[in-house]
Amino acid sequence: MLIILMLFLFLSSILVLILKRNRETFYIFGMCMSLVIMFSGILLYIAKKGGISRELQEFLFLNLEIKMHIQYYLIDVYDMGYIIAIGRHLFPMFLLFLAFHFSMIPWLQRNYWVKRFTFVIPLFTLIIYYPPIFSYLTNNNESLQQIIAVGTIIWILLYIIISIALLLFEAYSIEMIFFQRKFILITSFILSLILFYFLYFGQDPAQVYQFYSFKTGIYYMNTVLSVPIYIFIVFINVIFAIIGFTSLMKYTNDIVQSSKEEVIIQRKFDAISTGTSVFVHSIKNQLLANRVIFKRINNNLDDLEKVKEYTDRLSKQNENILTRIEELYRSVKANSVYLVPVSLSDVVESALERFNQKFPDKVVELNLMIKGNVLADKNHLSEAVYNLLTNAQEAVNSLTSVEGSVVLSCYNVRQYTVIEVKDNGIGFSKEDAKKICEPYFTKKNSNYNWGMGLHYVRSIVKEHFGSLRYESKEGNGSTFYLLLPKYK
Amino acid sequence: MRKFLSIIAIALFGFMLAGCSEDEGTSEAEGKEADKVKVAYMPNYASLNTVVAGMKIGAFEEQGIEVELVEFADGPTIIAALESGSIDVGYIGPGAHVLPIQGEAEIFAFSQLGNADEVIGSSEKGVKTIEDLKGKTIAVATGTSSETILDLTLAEVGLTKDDVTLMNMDASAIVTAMISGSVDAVATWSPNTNAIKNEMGDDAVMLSNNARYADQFPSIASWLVKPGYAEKNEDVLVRFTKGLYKGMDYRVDNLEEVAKWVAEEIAVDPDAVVQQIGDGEWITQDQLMTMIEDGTLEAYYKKQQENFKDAGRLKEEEMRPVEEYVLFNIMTDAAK
Repeated sequence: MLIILMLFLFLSSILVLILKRNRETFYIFGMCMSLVIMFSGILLYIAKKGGISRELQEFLFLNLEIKMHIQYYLIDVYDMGYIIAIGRHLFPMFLLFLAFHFSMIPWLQRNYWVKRFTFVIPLFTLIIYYPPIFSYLTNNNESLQQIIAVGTIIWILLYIIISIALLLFEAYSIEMIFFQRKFILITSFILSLILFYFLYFGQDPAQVYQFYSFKTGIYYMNTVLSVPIYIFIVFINVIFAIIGFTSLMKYTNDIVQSSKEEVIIQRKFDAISTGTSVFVHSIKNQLLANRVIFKRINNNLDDLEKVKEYTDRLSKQNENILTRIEELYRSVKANSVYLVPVSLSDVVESALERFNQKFPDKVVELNLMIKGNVLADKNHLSEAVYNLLTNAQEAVNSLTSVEGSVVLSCYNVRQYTVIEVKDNGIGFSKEDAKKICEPYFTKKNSNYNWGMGLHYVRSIVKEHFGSLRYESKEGNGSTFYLLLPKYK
Repeated sequence: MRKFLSIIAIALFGFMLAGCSEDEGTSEAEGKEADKVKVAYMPNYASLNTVVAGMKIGAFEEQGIEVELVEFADGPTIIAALESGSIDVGYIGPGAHVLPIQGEAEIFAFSQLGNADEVIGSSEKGVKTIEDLKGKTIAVATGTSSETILDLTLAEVGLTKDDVTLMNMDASAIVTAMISGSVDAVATWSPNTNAIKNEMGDDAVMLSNNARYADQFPSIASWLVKPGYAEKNEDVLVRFTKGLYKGMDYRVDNLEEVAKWVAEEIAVDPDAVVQQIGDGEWITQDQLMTMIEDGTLEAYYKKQQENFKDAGRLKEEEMRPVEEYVLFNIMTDAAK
């Protein structure tokens, strides 16, 4: 069974690395590989040494035939020991690299040398444990051998404790729930790998080098757990590995994922079929409505008051068409933004100004927790925020029973500056959530909303190297987050 | 998803509890019956013949002892397992005796003088005599009696370890290395020697064995316990030894039958175990008592210490009187 778990970790980490090539997956791949290498050595060693119950043998090797093959595998004891050394000493290194990578503690980000230093101790230990060097150093020097063994255990434990502390601190510090949830799942997976590592992490490679003459007890003899506990640990690992790898795929790359969605959206947008036909249809509807007005004007040329009423309506329709065309033009042209440091409060102010033009009698509750700059194109970004505010206000307007509220907040979370627009309006369903950013998707009156708003917002945020996130429950309001890279 | 996870968690928890309670149940039931002794053995005739014979003829049962066998590949691991308390009694070959001398274990019964170690050359690779070993690659399990036999063999023609290339391997890998032609010669012990000869036929040439150096290097095999165990469990140990003695006596007259029993126990071909009948000088309880009385046994253990010292595996200050680690009283009490 242990062999199956090793194979599973091996294959799934390769798969994740192929699907997502970034630092997180590389480090996790490194951890899984180290475990596989270490356990290969340990299983070779146990098969050759024996001394475990038949039941445990079957758990470790599946059946006696496999065990015999492993037992008679041709390998010299130094190679066997060094295999264990490689896996055993690289696992904590990759773990700490990963913890540093996830950690947003400013001190760690500033002091890059700490990260560089991470590989020094494992590398040094691997050099010391290199069989010819190890034999040379420890020949007739048992106390030095003891010092090396204890020293190694100490640094390994330190690496693991620091990593766990950093990961837990990070999980605790993430303020946005959807990030935190995924991060906790990834952390659980990492902790389950550590639990697996702890089964045999104390196996000193020197004991394998001195296969028949090591004096201070066989490590695995002291740590043999009952078979049900072994099986339990394997189950935990498989479950957390599946959940962890899945979360990792989602967490690691909002950017990759978003860009993929972007491609889909872009394709949909480019496809003349639906999008354009909706747009053309809407324009045609309005022009047909205008034709009716023109006819009425012709029939009522004597009544100036009526003519005035019709021309007013025509003028309004005309403005509306122009606005829509401009909107369409903007979202097609959204790839040209000019990013400069601008004050966040200026962006917010400009968005509120536009909002007040549209809804003069509505009030947005403002919660500006930070001041400072963001790297942005002020016009585009404030237009995006205005779009979100408009959507929120419209969602609130549909309410009948409760008093509506729209809240605009700005704050910093880890590496992001977040602009949050929250309403207690009608919300949207999970199914709609998937389509909400597609162009021409709208649930509102089609004369005034042609479904380009969120598509536009998303394009703009992407141009700002950020992302758009949202959470909603039907009937319970929605929250939109504009995540922009923090400007330092 | 949450529901699914909690169901799994509950199932696993229940599973663990079931596992634990099962363990507790068994030990409680056994406590009321015979004294359970966990015996560590190596899967060969020399290690198992007395204990298996004793089990089959009901000698241990008669003494109120229930034997549970646990398989190991070598002596040092058995001593480590004794230390950890996962076994009670163990059998070791000559190479591991350095550990009881150093205080890691106590010997409570002599087993036999072995003849299991051999140095084997591959004629295909040009090793037909001991002299041919010069410049060749030899697989050896460092720290075992086979290494000592190799040292003695090389010394016989004026060679040292510097004149050959040694590959330090475990016993199983040595078999594979020799059969696959990865090395020119090996120093190992039975039943690995038999496996090599069966596979290679005439290409495997036996260059030397324990018998050749019997006067210089008595190849002693013994039964042992961890330090302090004998003091606390003297009664159990004496009864266990009585069971061993009965097995010893039965074995001497029924070598082949016992070989088949051993084969059955370790699930190998009976012929392979019958081939190992020559691996030792099998004695009876009476012969053992004579060896104790006339001091022969003590002399063997003394000589063994000197050999370890000469081979550099034992320091001068670590040498100590034999009676400090060989419990002659258990052996004589069990004979009463």
